Amino acid sequence: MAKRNTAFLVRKAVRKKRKFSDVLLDVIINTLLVIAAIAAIYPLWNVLISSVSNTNAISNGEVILWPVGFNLSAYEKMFAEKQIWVGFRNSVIYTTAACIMDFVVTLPCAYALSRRSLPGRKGFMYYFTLTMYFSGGTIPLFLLISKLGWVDTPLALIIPSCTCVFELVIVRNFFEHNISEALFDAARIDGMGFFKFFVKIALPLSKAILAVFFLYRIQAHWNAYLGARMYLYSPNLKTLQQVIQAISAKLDTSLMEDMTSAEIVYAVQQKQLLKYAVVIVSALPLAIIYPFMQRYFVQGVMVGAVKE
Amino acid sequence: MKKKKVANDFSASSLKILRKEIWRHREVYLMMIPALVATFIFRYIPIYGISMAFQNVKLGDKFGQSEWVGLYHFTRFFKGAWCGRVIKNTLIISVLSILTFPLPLMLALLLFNTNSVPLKKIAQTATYLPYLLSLVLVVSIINVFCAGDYGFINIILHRLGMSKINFFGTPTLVYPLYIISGIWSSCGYNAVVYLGALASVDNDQIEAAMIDGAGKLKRIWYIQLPTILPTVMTLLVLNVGNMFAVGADKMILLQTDLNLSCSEIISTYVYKTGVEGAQYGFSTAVNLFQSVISVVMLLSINKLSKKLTGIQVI
Repeated sequence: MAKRNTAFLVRKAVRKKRKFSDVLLDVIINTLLVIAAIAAIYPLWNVLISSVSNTNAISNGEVILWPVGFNLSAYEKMFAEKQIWVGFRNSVIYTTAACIMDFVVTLPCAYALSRRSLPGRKGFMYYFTLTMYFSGGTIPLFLLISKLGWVDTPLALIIPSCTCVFELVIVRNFFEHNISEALFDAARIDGMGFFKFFVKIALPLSKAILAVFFLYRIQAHWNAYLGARMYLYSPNLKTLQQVIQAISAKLDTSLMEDMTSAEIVYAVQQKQLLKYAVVIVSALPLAIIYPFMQRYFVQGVMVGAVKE
Repeated sequence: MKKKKVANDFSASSLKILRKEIWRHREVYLMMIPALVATFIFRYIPIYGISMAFQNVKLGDKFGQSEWVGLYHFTRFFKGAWCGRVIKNTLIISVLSILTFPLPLMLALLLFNTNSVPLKKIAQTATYLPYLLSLVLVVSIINVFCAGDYGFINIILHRLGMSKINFFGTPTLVYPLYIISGIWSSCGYNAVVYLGALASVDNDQIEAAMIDGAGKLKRIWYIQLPTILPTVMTLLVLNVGNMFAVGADKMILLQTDLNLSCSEIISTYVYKTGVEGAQYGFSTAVNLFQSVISVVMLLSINKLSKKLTGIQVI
């Protein structure tokens, strides 16, 4: 009560004689924030409006704030590209399978490591966290996967990535701080074992961290590129990221000074337009779920920042 | 009941208690087995595979058991034409990245100190959004923006009567492309960490300062910044310590045949010689060189920071 009063008085007093420098600072802060927000959004906005504009308008530099000569030909062209659909299908399958794998391997282990009474807990923790600092590097893992015969099979993308130590630590921290020991003792008196407690009580109480876990893993698997490039060669196995990369890298690396034929110019313009559409369509799924999931993303960063 | 009995049984040796505790936790150990096995196979066996850096690896050989060649791969790397160039490029990229280190901090301070709630929400959402895009998409956007004749930037330059820039044909331009796209895609994400730290700023202190007539700038400088200094230092140590460990993923996407002299860094070189060139031993050696330097650097920066500021990360 007393505290609220002082706060009120302070605010009143301060409001009365707000310094000119403070007002100026507020203006500067808000201006900079507006600039930052626009700088972050504009590249995406520009791609979006270009993807639905007329190619000649784009080349003349008329497409800056709004679409000019609205049309959807880029999207029609894109939907006709079969490879994009194959990549999309593959990415959905791989991401789903890999997330299930991550869940099955990581979550029980995170719970196990959160039990304070577990003998040898510290040693196991070192066993996992050590791999964050020391790794064998690219080639030994690559050769190991080759020896297992997983090259050019989806297994190479689905199985090895289940050793996600960072997420393991985040989830363990959450279990440790949020699932009380008393709750477990109560369940134990009712005859509940460790595993049953994990499935029936700990998991349902941890929806927030599960959301964080799945968002992180979905993002990691959906966006992964280098691994796919290393292990997958067959066209019908390639991921969406590989397909996008192949489309976006085509025909744009050098200035085509020797281009005279109108046909080539047209082809290049069409390719460019297709790239705009591809970027938009592949950014779309994440952009749609993002507003609903934003608080979980932020929460994940916070939980991760808790130092042991 | 059982637990009480164990605890009261003073005559039992501690070993016996330990054995009982382990047996009581048998289910917990079972739950750890998949992760233990997976980590052993996919993390520890590759560490054993580092021995390939000292071997002449051929495809038919058993894993990590090829003919020993000593330091042959290392001397070949150090004498090779690419050695100096890839080290230089890696260092340029990382030094430039560290120079951008204050930007997320500034963004967080702006977001924390704005007096407009809707603006804060919009700006935070907008700056975080690019982080969701994959590196392939980020580079695709760079590609369409900076394309030779029909990229947005060149169209605008042309319209303003300036000459076009050949972004992918001019080797040195790969540095700004890498750094600026890095700021764009991760500044908002990194700011969230500082925002979390700023949440613990003491409100009583702020009020006391306001009564004493401290303006906003002074409150930022004398209260908010000291509060988040440990977080800032931790991240700085990690960033500087990891300087040598620039990843291959983004650079390999930005590379063209024309900018290779500036865009080949250690990790992309490892990828190319190893995965594409099949020089397994050589590539592992270069990778080992990079990891060793990184670990040494991280540890020494950590020690330095402990000495100077009392903050240590590891």
